[in-house]
Amino acid sequence: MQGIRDIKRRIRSVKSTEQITRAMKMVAAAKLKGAEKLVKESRPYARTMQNVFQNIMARSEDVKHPLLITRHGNKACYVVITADRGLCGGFNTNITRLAIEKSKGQKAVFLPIGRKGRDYLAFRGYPLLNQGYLAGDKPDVALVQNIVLDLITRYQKEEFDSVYLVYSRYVSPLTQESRVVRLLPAEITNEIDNQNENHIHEEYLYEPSALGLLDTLIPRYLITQVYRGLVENHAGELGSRMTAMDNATKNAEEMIADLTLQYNRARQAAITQEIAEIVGGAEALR
Amino acid sequence: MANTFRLRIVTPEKVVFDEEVEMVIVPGSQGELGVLANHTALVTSLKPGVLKVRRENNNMFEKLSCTGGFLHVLSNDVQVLADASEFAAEIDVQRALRARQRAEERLLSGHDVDILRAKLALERALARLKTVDYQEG
Repeated sequence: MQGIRDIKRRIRSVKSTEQITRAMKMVAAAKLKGAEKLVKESRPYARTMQNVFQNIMARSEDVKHPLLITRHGNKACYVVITADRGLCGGFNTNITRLAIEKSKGQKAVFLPIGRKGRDYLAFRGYPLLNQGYLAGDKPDVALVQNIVLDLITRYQKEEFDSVYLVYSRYVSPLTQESRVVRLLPAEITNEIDNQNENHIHEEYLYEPSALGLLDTLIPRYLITQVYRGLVENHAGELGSRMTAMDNATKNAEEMIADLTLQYNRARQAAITQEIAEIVGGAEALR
Repeated sequence: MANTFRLRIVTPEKVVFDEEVEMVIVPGSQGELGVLANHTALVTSLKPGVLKVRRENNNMFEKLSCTGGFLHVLSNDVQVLADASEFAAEIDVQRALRARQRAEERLLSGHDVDILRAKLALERALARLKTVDYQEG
């Protein structure tokens, strides 16, 4: 049997770990509220942007913009958004794994946003476009702008033939969904919101020309997507951390209960033994 | 036929405006542009300027700033995708004045690297000041 003192020491250590995990859970929960609000408020813009873009694309198949044409090369760039910090369950690993999985069979280079993804990819020797960026605590539009504009320039120089974004969509504190979106050539899905479906044959008036409009629209569309990825990711990270830390706290509580039981048993055994010894000693003196 | 339409002004941060209106005037990249109900499908880019909105049975225009973006019109559903947009009452005049001064100084100092950025910053500051009808002095 473990010594009483050892058990007591272990209880103390688990307790202090529990305090930390509990505090981290609280902090994550508090921050999550703000992050969730940001997700909710940034969705309408992203959705509208998507609708506008898809609407235009559905109606103007003859428009041939260089950023929309599919190339046949095999060089891909993966923008991987992760968190800067760990201790949030499988959150970061899920995203990075998905990116690696997706890139199989392509000549891929990675652009990590977020320290964890960068460390993971760099440690395993995957080629990185540059040393990556930090995700930061608040999604930064200016940073996203620089990244996207840089990617577009490189894409135009044919450094790669496609660009993908890997991030985690925020569903709820318990669920995040890692997903891959193609940024370049800009993805044209055929979903158009239903309310406009009967107007599908209406011709658009473009001011300036459709091509000129796409020149400004596409970069903005991409910026929106990446920005949204960052926002959703940040909320997902906090949600994931909250759940992970909640589990850790529960486990710690369980361990403490077990250890306390053990401790009491050991203490009882020691007392019993001591009494037995005293009784034995008194017997012997008689 | 109803002579109002739904106008939504959204920015990456939030939905600024979502109401039935009678008319909106936007600062299009090719000049100011008024939109009434039953307008034909239209997409245009916007430059920094003032958005003017008029509700039904109201002669007054309400003003919002706009720092560039897009206008999308389709079947009485009008959407303004603005980079940033505020009601006149929400605009921080002092901040806009400071931004204008900064941009002007940068333009005068003549380091040509940031001319484009300074120009855009100046336009944004001017758009905000115009929205609140700022008078010099």
